[in-house]
Amino acid sequence: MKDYHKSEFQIALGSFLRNRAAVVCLWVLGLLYAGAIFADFLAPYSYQNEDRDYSYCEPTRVHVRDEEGRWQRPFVYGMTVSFDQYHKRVYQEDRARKYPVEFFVQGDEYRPLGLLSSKLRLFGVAPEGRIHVLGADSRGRDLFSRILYGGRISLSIGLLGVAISFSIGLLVGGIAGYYGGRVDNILMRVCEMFMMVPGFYLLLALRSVVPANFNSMQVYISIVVILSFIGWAGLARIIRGMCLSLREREFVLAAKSMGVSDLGIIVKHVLPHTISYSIIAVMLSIPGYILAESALSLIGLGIQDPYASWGNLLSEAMGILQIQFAPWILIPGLFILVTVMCFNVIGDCLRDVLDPKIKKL
Amino acid sequence: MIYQVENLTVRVNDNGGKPLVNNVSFSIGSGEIVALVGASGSGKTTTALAGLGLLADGLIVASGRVLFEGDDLLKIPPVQLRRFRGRRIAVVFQEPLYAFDPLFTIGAQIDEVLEVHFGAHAAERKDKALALLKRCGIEEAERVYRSYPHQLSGGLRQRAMIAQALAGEPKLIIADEPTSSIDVTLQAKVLELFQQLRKELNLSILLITHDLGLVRHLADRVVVLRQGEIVEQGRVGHVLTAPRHVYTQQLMAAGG
Ligand SMILES: Nc1ncnc2c1ncn2[C@@H]1O[C@H](COP(=O)(O)OP(=O)(O)OP(=O)(O)O)[C@@H](O)[C@H]1O
Ligand SMILES: [Mg+2]
Repeated sequence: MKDYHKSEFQIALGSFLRNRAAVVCLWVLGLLYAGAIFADFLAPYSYQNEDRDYSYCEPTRVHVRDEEGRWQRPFVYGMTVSFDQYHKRVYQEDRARKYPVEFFVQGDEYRPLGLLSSKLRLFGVAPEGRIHVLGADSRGRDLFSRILYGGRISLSIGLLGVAISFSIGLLVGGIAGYYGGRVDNILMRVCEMFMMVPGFYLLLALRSVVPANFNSMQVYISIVVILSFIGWAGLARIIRGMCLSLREREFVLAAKSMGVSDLGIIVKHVLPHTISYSIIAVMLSIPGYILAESALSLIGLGIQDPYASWGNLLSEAMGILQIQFAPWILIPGLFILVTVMCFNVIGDCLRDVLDPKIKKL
Repeated sequence: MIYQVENLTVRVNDNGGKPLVNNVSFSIGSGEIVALVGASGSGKTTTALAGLGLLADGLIVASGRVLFEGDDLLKIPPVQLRRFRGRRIAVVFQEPLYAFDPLFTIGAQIDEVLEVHFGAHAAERKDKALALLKRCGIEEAERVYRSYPHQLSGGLRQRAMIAQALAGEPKLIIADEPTSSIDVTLQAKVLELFQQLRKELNLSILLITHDLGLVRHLADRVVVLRQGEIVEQGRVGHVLTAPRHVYTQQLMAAGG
């Protein structure tokens, strides 16, 4: 007995896995998300651990040989700061202070899921020294740690935003497409109103409505809500188009003739048929949310210090001097770039794989 | 009489042209099989689906009544009409490959009907669904239950469709060309099934077809439609042995 469905899925999966770039991107994203999820463990410092003596300290060099050239286990030197004639900070390794890099060390405390308390961190040095593999920011906070913690916000905002706006978009598009007529007309005019306003202005306008005294969790949630608010309309329109043709399919009439409710038909027999498109659209729209969050945070309207997101980490890099003397503070931008690129590559590949119609065009 | 169509007229919403169904009246008794015959486009499907509120967009019932056990279906609000669909009157479609949703198994789709109308526990519903499949002459009920529509042969699919129609325990089944998508040997089996169901469940059946051979074997009475109007109706024996109307004679000559 032939099983077209499974084989169709298997064919799709097979050709997805044969796309080298897409698989690499999938791995990269996996690593990034794992980094964010396990930030507590992987980051040597908590996101707010600061040491002003290490302000804009360059990435720490890890040595494996001491002054006499003898092989040693990896270690770092303590840093001393002085100012040159331009009042620029100059860091120098203090050969007298040597701190071995240790693994599975006790570091800053964290509470996974707010329950248990732990101090276990993958690596670190004794508290008298500091290790900044990607350098430090103005307040001497570890950039690597803050990027990992920032990933929690930047990477989750895309998923959450997409989840919400897709739920709304699917429902509105489904209802408009299924009922057609007046309902369709009204819903589509509403969509157009949202699509008419340029996204970024709408973003700013909505953000200004959010009370200033919100705590960071509330700000995070309101940003997610605002982003979804902007994103659902475009999707709803496309889903609606697909539903307009899907409702003419005979199985919809059949389900109706069996007494299934309209909502039941929309949810069970209409929307599931838009799945290929939806998967592609999800992948291709996540970057938009990540970029929008970054943009908001970059101009200081997003996640607030001391919490980190890739956008507000980048906001440190707004001055030419900082970029000149501490170019490593641009690294969060690299993370944004790579993430956005990965989602796009995967989305493109999924489109080739899942939607043969588009490929033939 | 369980089902009565009285002076039914269906037309396209926005034009005053010729109605698609014009002043059609006929009735079906309890346990009776009535055939609705006519050439393609003569308005058979439209006539049959009008009462259930399943007309295509743009078609409206201009006048008439469709009585089911005395209730005028055309006057019942949509929400309540839904309880008639599947539960009192079920439809068997011509091409089960399209009438089943390709994304779900046969079992899931029979289960959906059972859940909509009876609720009950999932395990109970599954037993019921398997019993329905067996009742429709499917021996490997378990396998069919787990199969997707495209995985089954045409004959099995048609039986599964009938099983689904029976799930709501309807009193009337509207079978819209139920055999034209399967080959001749299987057709005979499906006909047998209809006859058996009629006997055992006292089902009434509105059989839509243009196959007069089918009518002769199965139906008690026949209604002949032509361009939306009834040209002749009566007992099968009478109409098919001594057709009074030229159109009926043409149909017989064309189809056998
Ligand atoms: N939405 C619609 N708008 C306008 N005309 C329609 C619409 N739907 C059907 N018709 C017309 O109504 C007439 C009757 O259609 P119907 O489907 O009831 O015929 P039928 O006897 O079932 O034909 P068949 O044997 O091909 O199934 C046809 O001429 C068809 O063109
Ligand atoms: Mg028809």
